[in-house]
Amino acid sequence: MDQLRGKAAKLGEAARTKAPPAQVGPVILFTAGGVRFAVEAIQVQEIRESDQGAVTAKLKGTPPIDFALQAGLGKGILERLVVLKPGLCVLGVTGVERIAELPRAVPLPGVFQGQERQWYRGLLLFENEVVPLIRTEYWRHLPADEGRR
Amino acid sequence: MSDLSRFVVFPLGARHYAVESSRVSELLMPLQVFGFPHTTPSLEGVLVRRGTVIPVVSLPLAYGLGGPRRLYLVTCCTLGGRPETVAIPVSGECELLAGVCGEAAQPEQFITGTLHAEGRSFPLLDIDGIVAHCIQAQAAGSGEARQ
Repeated sequence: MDQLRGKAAKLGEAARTKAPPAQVGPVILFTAGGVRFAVEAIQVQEIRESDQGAVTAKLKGTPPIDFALQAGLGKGILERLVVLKPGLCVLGVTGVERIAELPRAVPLPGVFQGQERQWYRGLLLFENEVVPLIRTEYWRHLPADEGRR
Repeated sequence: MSDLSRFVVFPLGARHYAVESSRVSELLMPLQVFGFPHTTPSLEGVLVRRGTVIPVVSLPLAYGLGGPRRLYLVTCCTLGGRPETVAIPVSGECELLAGVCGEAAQPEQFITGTLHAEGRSFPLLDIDGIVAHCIQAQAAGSGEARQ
């Protein structure tokens, strides 16, 4: 587990110097804990209802990560499952809203020095909103006993 | 008179402080602060100004100083050798004053000297030091997330 944590920490460190491109591809907007987040659509394998028995069976052994809980927003309501490629990481979220095409991305400002550097790849600027773009590499490497249920 | 002898004086809680005007890029009227989960202390979120994201560092919160929020002082500070632009909420009107610097009246954390201008004196705030101090506690640790 220490190795996984170390890997996640390295990803966060890399984020300090590696800025995201000004534009990213299509993103999927989802909500967790009352907050909107984004994940690159190319990183998502599928989105499912959380109560589908077939899905539960298929994903057996891969309990969903309570995204809201992990982001410090309290225990989340897991109504949707965002399955990240290649299928071994499942994010439990409240809702999946829509796909946004070609949003403008900016790096997370350097003064953000906490765990958010691992959580997010950058920030997406929409007309009246700033949405964190999650760093899928981090969430894939999250140790199995952290935030999963 | 060189730019270095001009200072922006601003209220923070019950006191007024001064910083070199060359450190201040602009003063903003209250804007929407966009919050998102993070664990860095004293950061409220970000402002978006002309397509640029500016983090909001709340010094009053860090020091228990209250007061109404009137303006954001946008300043460039150096953190870990890197320049970072941050917005600091201030609790009243700001002044641009010309004056001379002297020793601090008494040793005080994050105060580098005293500005004497127009018959008044203001403590000179070490912006780099205080911003670094505010955001460092628990940084990169497992601190409680905030929005």
